[in-house]
Parts: sequence; C-alpha cells; structure tokens
Amino acid sequence: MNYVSINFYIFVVLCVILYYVFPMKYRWITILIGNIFFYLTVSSETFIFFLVTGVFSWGLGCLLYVVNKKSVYKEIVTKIVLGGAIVSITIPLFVVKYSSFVINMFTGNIWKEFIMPIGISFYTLQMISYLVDIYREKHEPEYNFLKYMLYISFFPQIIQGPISRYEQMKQQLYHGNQFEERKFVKGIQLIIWGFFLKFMIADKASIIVDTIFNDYDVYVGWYVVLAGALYSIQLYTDFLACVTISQGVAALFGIEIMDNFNHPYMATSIKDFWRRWHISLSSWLRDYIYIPLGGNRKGKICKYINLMLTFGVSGVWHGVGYKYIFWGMLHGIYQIIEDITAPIINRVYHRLKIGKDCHIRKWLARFITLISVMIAWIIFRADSLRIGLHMLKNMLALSNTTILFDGSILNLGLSYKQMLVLLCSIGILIVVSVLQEKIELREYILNMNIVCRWGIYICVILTIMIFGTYGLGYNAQDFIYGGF
Amino acid sequence: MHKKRFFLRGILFVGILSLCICCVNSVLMPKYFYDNDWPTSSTYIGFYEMKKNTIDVIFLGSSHAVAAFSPQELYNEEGIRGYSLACEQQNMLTSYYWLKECLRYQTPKVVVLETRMLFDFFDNEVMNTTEECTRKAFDYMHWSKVKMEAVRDICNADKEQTIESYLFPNIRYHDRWENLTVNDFIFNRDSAHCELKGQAVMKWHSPGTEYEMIYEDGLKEKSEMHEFSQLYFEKIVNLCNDKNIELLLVKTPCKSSNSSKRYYTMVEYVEGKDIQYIDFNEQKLYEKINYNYEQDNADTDHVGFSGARKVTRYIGELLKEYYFIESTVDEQWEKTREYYQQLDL
Repeated sequence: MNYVSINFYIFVVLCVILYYVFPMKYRWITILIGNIFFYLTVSSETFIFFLVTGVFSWGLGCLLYVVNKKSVYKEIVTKIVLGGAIVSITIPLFVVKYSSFVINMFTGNIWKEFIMPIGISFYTLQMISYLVDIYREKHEPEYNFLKYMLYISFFPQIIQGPISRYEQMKQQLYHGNQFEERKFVKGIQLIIWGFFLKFMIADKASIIVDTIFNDYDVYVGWYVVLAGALYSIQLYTDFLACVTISQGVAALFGIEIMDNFNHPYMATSIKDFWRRWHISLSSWLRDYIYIPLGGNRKGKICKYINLMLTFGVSGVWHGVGYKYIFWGMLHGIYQIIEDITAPIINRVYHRLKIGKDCHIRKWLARFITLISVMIAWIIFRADSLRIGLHMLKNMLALSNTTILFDGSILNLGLSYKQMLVLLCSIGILIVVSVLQEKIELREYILNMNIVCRWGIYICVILTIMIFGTYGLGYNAQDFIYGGF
Repeated sequence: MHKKRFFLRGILFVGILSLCICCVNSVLMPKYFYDNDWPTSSTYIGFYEMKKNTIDVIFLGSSHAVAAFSPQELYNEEGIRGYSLACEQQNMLTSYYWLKECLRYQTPKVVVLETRMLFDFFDNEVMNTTEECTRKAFDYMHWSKVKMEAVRDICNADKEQTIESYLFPNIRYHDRWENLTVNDFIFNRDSAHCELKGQAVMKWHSPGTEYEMIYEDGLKEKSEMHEFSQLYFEKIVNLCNDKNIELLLVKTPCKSSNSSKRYYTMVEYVEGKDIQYIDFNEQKLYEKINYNYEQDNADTDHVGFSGARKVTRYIGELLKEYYFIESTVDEQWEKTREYYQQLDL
C-alpha cells in the first residue's frame, strides 16, 4: 500500500467516514487506529521496533520535563538527559541505515542490511524536535502515550514527511475537527494535483533519467545535461507530489500540513534555494543543528564551519554513501562561496548601475543557482560518487549539440508523443506555479460554477488516466524521498 | 442538511466520473473484430447475443481450435448448433472459466476441447501462454462470480497481475492512446459482426512441407503434460462430469516433432475413462477424412478454410453417431448461412 495505490484510497475513505461518524472528542482515536493499520500493512515486521522507539522517546519526554521542573541541578541534569535522549533515539537510525556501510568501509566485508522501518528518518527528527522543544520549554510533554503515538505516526506524512513540529500538529490532531466542505474539497484537489505531478511528470521523466544514468558510460555532453535537468524536475515533482497528496489526505480530516516547497527552482541563491526546498528539513536543521552550533553569531570562520557541519548532517540524513556526504558538503561550499563573493558581485552590479530589482540580474542569479543545484543533483542521483564525478566530466564534452535536434532524444525510452505529453505537463506546472503566485488557485476553482468546476476535475482525472505513466508494463516508481 | 447535500453531490460526481471512465476504458480496450486474424472480441460479444439454451456443442481451445472448428459448417452439414469459444493462445484456465461462463447461459451436450495447450507452449509463462492473450480472452467476459474467480486465480498464478487492472482496464491499456485508430471509437459498428460464431477463417496456404503423420507402428514415446494446464484440464473434466456433458478431446492437424509423443500421452490418459480422444495427425484418421496437409493447412500450426471443413465434417458425423446430437433448425444459424457461403467464393 503506497500513496498512489487503490488500496490506500479505500483505506482513506474508510478512515474519513469513521472519523466524522465518531464524536468530536474521540475522533483522534480513529486516526490512531488508521496509523497503526497503515504501519502494519506497509511494514509489519518493524512495527514493534517503531513502538519501542515511541515508548522510549515518550518516556524521555516526560522525564525531561520532570527533571527540568524539579531537579536541583536543573541545568546540568536536563542537558545530560536531553543529550542521552537524542543519542539513544538517533542510534537506531544510524544502526539501521549506516551499520552495513561503516562495517563495509572498515572491513571490506558486505553485511546484510537491516530492514528499514518506514519513515525512520522522518519520525526520528520529529522525536528529536519534540524533546528539544520540551527542554526549551516551548511546550509541555504529551502525557497521553496514545496521543503521542498519534503525532509521530500520522499516516499521511510518515513515509515522506513533512517533518511537522508537535506544536503545529497537536491542536489539529487531538481536538476533533468539524467537517468543512471547502477544506474537504481542497484536499481532493490536492490529491488530484499530486497524481498529476507523479504520473504526468515525475515517472515520465524518470524513464529518460534512468536510461542515461544506468548507461552513464555511453552518454556524454548534452545527454548528461538533459539527464541532470530532467532529474531536477523528477525529484522536485516526485517529492512535491507525495507532500501534496499527504496534505490532501490530511485535509480530508480537516488537518493542515505545512508546505514543504516554495518554488525552489525560482531561487536566486543557494541560501534562498534551501529556504524553498524541503522547508521542514531545512528549518529543522537550522533550529536544531545550525543555531545550537552557534549559527553566524561567532564570526565568519565559525559560521562556515557550522554551515559545512549542517550540510554534512543533511547529506548523511539523505542516504548512505560518500555521494550523499559530498552532495551535502557541496551545498555548504556553494553557500560559503556565495557569502564570500556577494560583496564583489554587488560592487560589480553597482558599477554597472544594475539594481537589485533588475529582472536580468534576478534571472541570471536564478540560472546560476539552478545550474549549481543541477550539478549537485547529478552526484546525488548517480550510483556512486565516482560515477557522479565521471558523469560531470562527461558533461563537459558539449560538442554533441545535434542530438537536441536530430531525434536522438527519442531513443531514450520516451516516444515522440510521450515526450510531448511530458513537455506539456511541465508547461502546465509552470503555468500553475505562476498563477499560484498571483491568486489562490484552489480557492478560485472552488468559486467557479459547478459545471466548470466539475469539468476541470473530470478533465484532469481523465488526462492522468489516459496519458499518465503507471500501471502494468511500467515499473511504478516508489516515491524517491520515501527511500531516505 | 448541508452535509446531506454535499453527500448527494458527491455521489452524482462519482457517477458522472465513473461514466466517463467507462467510456474512456471502452475506447482504450483493444478490439479484435471480424477483420482481425483472431477475432477474439467478436467471438465473446457474439456468444452473449445467442439465445439462452440454444447451443448443443461448445468448442474450446487455442488458435488451433479457432481455425479448425467451424460452427456454421457443422450446422450446414449436420444441423448441429455449435459455438466456438476458443481463442488465440487459450490456456486451460481460460478454457475452464469460459466453459463455466458458458454454463450460465447454455446447456451444451458436448464440449470439444483442442488439446495443444495441455503441453508446453511458452516455457517461461506460468499459465503456458502470454498475459496479453489471457487478458484478451477475459476482457469481454461479463462480470460475474465466474469472472471474479477467474481473475483471482490468474492473479494467484501470475504475481505480476492485479485484480485492479481487470476492474479498471485503463491500468493495463492506458498506454494504448498512442496507437488508437478510428476503429477504436466506432467499435459498435464492427462488434455487430459475429457471424462466424468463433471461427477464424484462414484462406492462405504456407504450411511448408515435410509433414509427418503419426503411424501406428512408430515409437510410442510420451511427453509430460504442462503442470498448470493439467490442473485446469482436470477441472474441465470434473465440471463436464458434474453437468453430464460429454467431453471430446481433439488434436487438429499440425506439424510438430512432438505430435507423436503428445498423441500417446493423450491415448494413455483417456484409457479406461469415458472420454474420447481423436487426433487428426494419426495416419488412419488423416487418410479417412482425405486430409492434405499442404493444401488444407494455412501454416504449420493452423488449419486453413478447406481443412476446417474436413475436420468439422468429421466431428459432425461423430457428434451425430456417437453422441446422438440431433439436427435442429435454428434461425441464429440460418441467417448466417449466406455470409459463410460467400467466404467460400
């Protein structure tokens, strides 16, 4: 059962019906039952592991609060408890994810990998933020264990986030929500849009991306550029699709999940990119790693070290292997270069009398940011760091410009018609993104008359049904970020 | 009140959407009508148009059966009302479930089963034949308990299949949008042509030479039956027993180095059972019906139009003499006489 399977939606419909049938006070119980059912269906073998981690982190939260309030040596004891709690919660993540890699690195022996509990990378961060916020006295611990489990196992977001904070969620999760027609329909709109992104763009683009990355030795120059560009689109739309579907499903219960993206490829700098990409992770890294390390308060050198450490953690979090660490560090280096060169660039623009609002300046900055991000994505997607660097080297052989016009691109797995559908879908994504900047698009559709409104919904559903990449004959791609 | 209105609107929306999805699916579903070499869709659409309890003989089997059995010839010659539910690469599971489906509407007295699919056909396929052909055979079966059972069995046997893809054919066929033709949109016109009642007419001849009959004094080696096929074959036998239907096993003329082995396997199988097996590759029978492989076969595996006449006429005689099927005048076969005669011109 995944977020794009029929079984999942049968399950969601049953959950929603139960939710609104139950009295307000007990509605949270139906979601909790749904969470448990979902977890058992997707990964029953790791449920006990998840449950034990939940009990442990919940107990530590209560202990931390008690120690914080009543301990004589409050400062030291709470720090020790918090430190111990974070280490003990993080250890399972490291063991499950990295033990095989580390043993292989030091001994050369290949170890059998552990079964990965679903959402471990995401719920571990949620648990840490929950404990740190208790320590910071931002909120009290949740004394009801079942309610705590409801927060860390919320099924629409457990597989791929976003990493919601306890404070954002508790009110919505625990106090039953009234049925609101507009909110409900907006949820359905989000689910449909999520399917569009996944089947019309991400999974179509993946066919070309896989062809080139799987045969990286054969493809050089513009092929690698194409693969990089399409992978950038694939990763974005795939992740956005999952988050959009999560938001949509949550909205059916009247729950709002935070946005995880804000048009990241419109960023004018790498710093700006990280404010727009995977917002819940970026803000988590900022609040629980970068700022506690000192942020930018302790001078330039310290700031750069903190940046490298934070992005190093980001790389390690994303996956196992040198390529992820390199990818994280590369983003750290980008930001340091940006920081160092910013005064020089500003001076050049000032001399040329080009202001900050100048469109050419903005688009140039966007272009440079996009290329930098794309280069990093190539490393991220490649099977290993060595292959990624090899591909980047191959990318420099840009003499094969003709492949862009002579039909060679059509031999990469997508026919001419499929390619046209992909381009049109990307076009629709751009138009929708631009419109979203100007109007609240979902609200706008909701305010249309019933014929137009239903016409739009039915057209989009049928379009996905006919032109989407899914079903038998295709290897339905799991959501990429679910693998992290 | 507000919630109730929303709920009713929701139902209306789902209704309209379902209608649109059905329309799209009917366009996307592949169609194999009379103008196709293997008119599988016509065969099954035509079957449902037959009046209840009017068919006396049902033919089942793979393309070998589609080409070799001519229900119209059978009617013209012997007045026996037959219908061929055979189709391209029809494996034993498909034969079994189409027989079950047939029994919901008809009460046949005899089932004639072509035996080619009892033996290995596609080694790497669990059900002995390709997924595409199995699906083709079930696409036009009406939804009922029988179809649900069949789909469940198919999905159990072949883990790559899903029940959802049978419920929503777009999951299987959505990539057909690239190859749609005008015929996909006006299928109601073509689907009306079911005159041949399941027969595929093959009027070409390129069977090659070096055909070998099965001689009585030849080596009596045997070959293994396909395990999965045998399982469903036994179900067919049991179903026929339960319903008091006679089962006639037939092997149509074809060129194969394994013909003899298969023949002796089948002879051994029917020994002591109340089932008759005839093989048109066997010397005596081959000569008795005056068969000429080079002239009567369309290709190495399939019987041509003239061959189908010879094979069907012999089966007709058998049905009359041994199974006591009586001649009947039926408008459903009468009105397609002319169509069939024109094919002979």
